[in-house]
Amino acid sequence: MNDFQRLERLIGVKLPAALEKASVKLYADQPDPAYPPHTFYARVDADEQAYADLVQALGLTPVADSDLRMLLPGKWQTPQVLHLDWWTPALDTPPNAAGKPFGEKDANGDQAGWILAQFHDGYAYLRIYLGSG
Amino acid sequence: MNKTKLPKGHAQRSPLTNENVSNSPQKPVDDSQIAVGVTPSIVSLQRYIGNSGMNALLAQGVTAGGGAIQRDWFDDATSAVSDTASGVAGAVSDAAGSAYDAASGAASSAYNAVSGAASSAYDAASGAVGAVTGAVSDALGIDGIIAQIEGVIRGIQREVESQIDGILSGIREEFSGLEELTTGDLSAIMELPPQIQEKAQTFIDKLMGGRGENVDELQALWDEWKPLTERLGEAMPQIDALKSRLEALETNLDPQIDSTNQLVEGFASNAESQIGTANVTLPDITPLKDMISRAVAALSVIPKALFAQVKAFIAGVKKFFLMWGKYCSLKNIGYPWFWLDLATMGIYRELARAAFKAGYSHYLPKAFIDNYVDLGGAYMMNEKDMGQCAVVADVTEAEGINFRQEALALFKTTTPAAPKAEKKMKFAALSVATTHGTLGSFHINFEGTLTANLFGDKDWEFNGTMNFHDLWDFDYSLLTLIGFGDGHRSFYGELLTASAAEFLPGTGFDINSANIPVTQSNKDREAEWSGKGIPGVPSRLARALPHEQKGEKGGETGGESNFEK
Repeated sequence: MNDFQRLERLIGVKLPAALEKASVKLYADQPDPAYPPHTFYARVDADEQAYADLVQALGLTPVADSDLRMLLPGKWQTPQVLHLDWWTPALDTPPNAAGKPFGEKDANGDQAGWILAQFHDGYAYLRIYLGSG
Repeated sequence: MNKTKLPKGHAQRSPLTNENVSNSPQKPVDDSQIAVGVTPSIVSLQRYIGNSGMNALLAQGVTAGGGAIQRDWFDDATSAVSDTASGVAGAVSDAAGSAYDAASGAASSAYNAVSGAASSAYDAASGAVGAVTGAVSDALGIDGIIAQIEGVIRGIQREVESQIDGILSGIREEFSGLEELTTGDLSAIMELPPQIQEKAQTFIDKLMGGRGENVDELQALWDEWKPLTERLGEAMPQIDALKSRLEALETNLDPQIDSTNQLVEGFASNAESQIGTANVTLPDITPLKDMISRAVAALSVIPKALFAQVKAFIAGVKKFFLMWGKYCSLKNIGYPWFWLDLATMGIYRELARAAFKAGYSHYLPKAFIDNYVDLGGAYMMNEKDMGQCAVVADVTEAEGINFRQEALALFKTTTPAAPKAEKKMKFAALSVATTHGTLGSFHINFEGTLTANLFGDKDWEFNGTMNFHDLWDFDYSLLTLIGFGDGHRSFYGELLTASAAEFLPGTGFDINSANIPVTQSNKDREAEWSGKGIPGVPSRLARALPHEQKGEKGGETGGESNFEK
């Protein structure tokens, strides 16, 4: 299983076929191996069209229209103790940024997790937070 | 194994002895304090029962009523003397003047003797009042005390009466001589010289005055003793009840002691027998064996590489304990549940403690293991400890509330006229400590104010305090081990937790922390606090895990993804 397939399994949707050959980097932030990862960082080689297909496949909506924008721009960064050379999204939230609530619902019926995405400098960036689980 | 056997009848009372009584704080009475006129028999009695006992007897006699000294005895005695003296005085003639002088001297001596005896008896008795109270309060030997009190009081009474009788007898003898001298010529009394009459009257006055003084003194004493009498009278039913209870207790105690002895002997015999043959009865472990069997079966679905690691880990643990097995000589060595026997040994606790602490290099997990094993109870972390847990605090990961929706709703309340809005918030957020063996997955409690700003550099900002809370225990799930868990822990984490739960003796405890300042805005990836950015320290075992190695390197080098291609 490669990172593309892992990303598909993680998100639970079939990604656009155009991206199958794309280079994918995937990092699971797992501070303690005794507990499952809580945040994934993914970068996929893509062009604007491939990103648009990805957004559609994932069912993401522009963050400017949702409460997810309240997480930005901070959430484009990794935690201070985590440094990934390849994770270089735009920190000023480009207009193509999109997202959606994600993961299992909490006691209030809200999805505590979320997916944030943006296209920047030839890459599609996905930040996937699984929620408290 | 040492047998513990209760001494039969250990609760029986000690007999009343001089030693027992002399423990009273009463001031000791030595022979010099025995007043003139108290006969040697009283002294002997006092030596026999001790000073406190003597005092107790005297007080009991004074206060207990029948058979004891009565307040009238002194009146009776002195009245007899004075009556006789008065009679004699009226009949004394000139011829009998010298005889009268002699008689009056004898009477005076006799009175002094009586007075001395009474005073002595009183002194002895008055000092005993406190002892009676002490003796009553000390229920042990109450029968003996009361019997001795009554006996000695009777003895004192006899002695005093005997003394008085003897004195009066002497007086009567003297005065009978005077009577003989004067009987024949009673009219001569009227012819006594005035100076003799005056002398006789002075004697009588003196005698009566002295008697009056003593009567007053005794009356005062009686006034003091009377309340004590009443108190003792009130206490007697309680003493009787106490006696009954003690008797009942003694009656009931013997069979209980016998029964206890039998239990102890039976237990000791049984334990020795079992320990001797290593046949300690173990709990029914059939369900546990079944669970282990199922878990082992489930392990077959785990990738072979991981299974081999788990197997090697278990084999290593087992080998470690088998090394100590030769010191145990217990029957279960060699079986999967061998640790049930090892767990009964004190040495095992320290071995397990050392083994688990060896898995960590950081001071906090070691401190927590010690606290767990030593049943240390709740653990309070300071700000430094909080930082050493290496935690990413993030208010946006709040549980129970949708923080981003709360922030957006507040933001929408702002207007150009009122660009700022505030809301007090109190919530918890789940986090994971990066220093392994510390808090694991735990809750951060936040409390503070969320501020939305329409025109500000930050859409929202949270300012407040936070503290950490966790229950440090090992509540593992077999379901997770066999692949059907709730995802709270990874398989590795569940295995580690299960190992600790089964192998590390101790009790879970709460971890709390100081309340420290925290702030975060929508421009921050994580909250700002004193411990932000402190790198975690992984466990030694985690460093050996392949995926963790990649994760660590991924973080440190900033290089590749942490999944195998």
